[in-house]
Amino acid sequence: MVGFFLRRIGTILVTMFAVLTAVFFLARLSGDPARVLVSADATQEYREAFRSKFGLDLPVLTQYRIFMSNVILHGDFGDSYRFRGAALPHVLARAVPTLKLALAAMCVALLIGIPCGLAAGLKPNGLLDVGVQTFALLGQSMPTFWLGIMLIIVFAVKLKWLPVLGRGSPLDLVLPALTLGFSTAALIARMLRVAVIDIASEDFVRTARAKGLRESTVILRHILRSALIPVITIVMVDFGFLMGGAIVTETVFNYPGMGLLAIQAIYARDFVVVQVFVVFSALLVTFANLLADFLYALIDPRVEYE
Amino acid sequence: MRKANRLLKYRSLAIGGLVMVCMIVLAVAAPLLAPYEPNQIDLRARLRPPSWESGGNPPHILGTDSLGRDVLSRILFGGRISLLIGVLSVVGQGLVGVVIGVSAGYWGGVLGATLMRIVDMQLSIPFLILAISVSAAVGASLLNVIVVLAISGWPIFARLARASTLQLVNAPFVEAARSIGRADAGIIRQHILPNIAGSLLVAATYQMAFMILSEAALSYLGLGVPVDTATWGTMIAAGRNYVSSAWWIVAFPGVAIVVTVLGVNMMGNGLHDLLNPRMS
Repeated sequence: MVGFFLRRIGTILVTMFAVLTAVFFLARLSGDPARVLVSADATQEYREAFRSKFGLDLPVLTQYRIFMSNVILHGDFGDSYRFRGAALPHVLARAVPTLKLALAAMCVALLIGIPCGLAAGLKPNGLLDVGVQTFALLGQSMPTFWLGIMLIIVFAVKLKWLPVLGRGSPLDLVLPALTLGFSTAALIARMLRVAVIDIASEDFVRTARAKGLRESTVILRHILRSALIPVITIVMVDFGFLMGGAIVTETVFNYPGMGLLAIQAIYARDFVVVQVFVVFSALLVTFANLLADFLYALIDPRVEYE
Repeated sequence: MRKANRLLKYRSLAIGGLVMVCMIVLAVAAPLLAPYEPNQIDLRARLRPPSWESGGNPPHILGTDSLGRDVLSRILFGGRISLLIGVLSVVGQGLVGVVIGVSAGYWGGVLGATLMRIVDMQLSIPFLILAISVSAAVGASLLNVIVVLAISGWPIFARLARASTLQLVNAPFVEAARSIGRADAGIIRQHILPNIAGSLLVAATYQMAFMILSEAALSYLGLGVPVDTATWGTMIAAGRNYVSSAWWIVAFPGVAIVVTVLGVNMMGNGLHDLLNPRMS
């Protein structure tokens, strides 16, 4: 197993190298940032000075070599065009609120998804099951940003239970977390339902019942515990989806995370910040997947990696 | 019980299919059905609520937006663009993904390994983040959105096509075809593709639902089609600033998205159950 994970880390390094390369050339597709960032009536000298300050006047391959060696050797992605100083600390500072939001969304998803999936799976084709299946289908089919705006309309504008704009209280996190976690909740409910139906008819569950264990013990200890294994993998793999959804959710709620920073950087053609954001997201997703494999092996002794 | 299950299966496919057909008919017939021109501005009729609310103006059934444009007409015309982008981007990514995936699965070797490394790399960047970055780089237009979504979505098909091909490469009927000297292209066309078409079709259906959602998200962020084009995503973006006074501008285009995507997903579920009888 150690060998498996060492090889996985090797693959991750190659992947990240490729991601860095892709991100570098992608940013060059979007045209000359000097055109957008330097005001139209600036002098030609000023424009040239701006280009040489950021190394934009060098041949592309030279820029690429400098970019890669700076990133790999010094962790330096270069300076932001919009803010003073290096881009990396700006993104990292905004990563904390985003991770907070993602974590809150994941809690929402688990708190809604697990009871729904368990209840539906224990009584398949019952009334509750039909309701949960409808919810699961809806969660798959609803645009995140629209859900966010509708929640604002219902809970902030009409009912006035929550503020429209954040005021720095923990309540600010409620609507964004609900928005971002909704589709994951639906996914968890759907997957857990199938797993519970499968496991409820297994021999060890019948044995547990035959031993005279209380029904709640059978459900929680025997059924739920085994059924949660596939759910853990889904939750980790869905992390990438959550990061993408975070951009949209943060934009809807004007939430100061790195998704909002990235989208503002895109509007401003500040591609250094966009690069850091894409690479950082890829890194998070890759490690989430690795963690999923690791947890899987830890929880389920039958899993063996070669 | 078994019969009831089968009926349930067809029901999902039937309802999903029906929704899809309705949406396509509405989109195609938009010029006949829409009571107004989608971009017709009428500043005297700004922010009119739906006709059943007080202050509503009967000809504007679903109300008007901040420029007095008719919400219903814009939804009908917007559907054309959403469906067009959904279908074409899936066709694009399907073609690229299947060609690459089948080649990697059939011939394997260094080529196959390299192609799959590219797939891994691309899948490590979250879909929406990739789509946003690419579309920011190439700019907003209808064709660009289709290309961006196709570029961002092909790895799913490549991975699926490769896995399904790998299961068939050493199957007896493929071996037999090879031993009588059939060319690779013929084997792929006659023996591989027909056998993997089912699972690809299911994937294409789910992917189309996802593409419609993604197009809406891109348009919402101002990175999809040009902002003055009526699409469901741009309509929601335009209504964002009026949430406290005019909920209908945001609500109805969203309902259109949910109904359409729900229909496509139900079709996907139905097809999946139909083609994998053992799974259900």
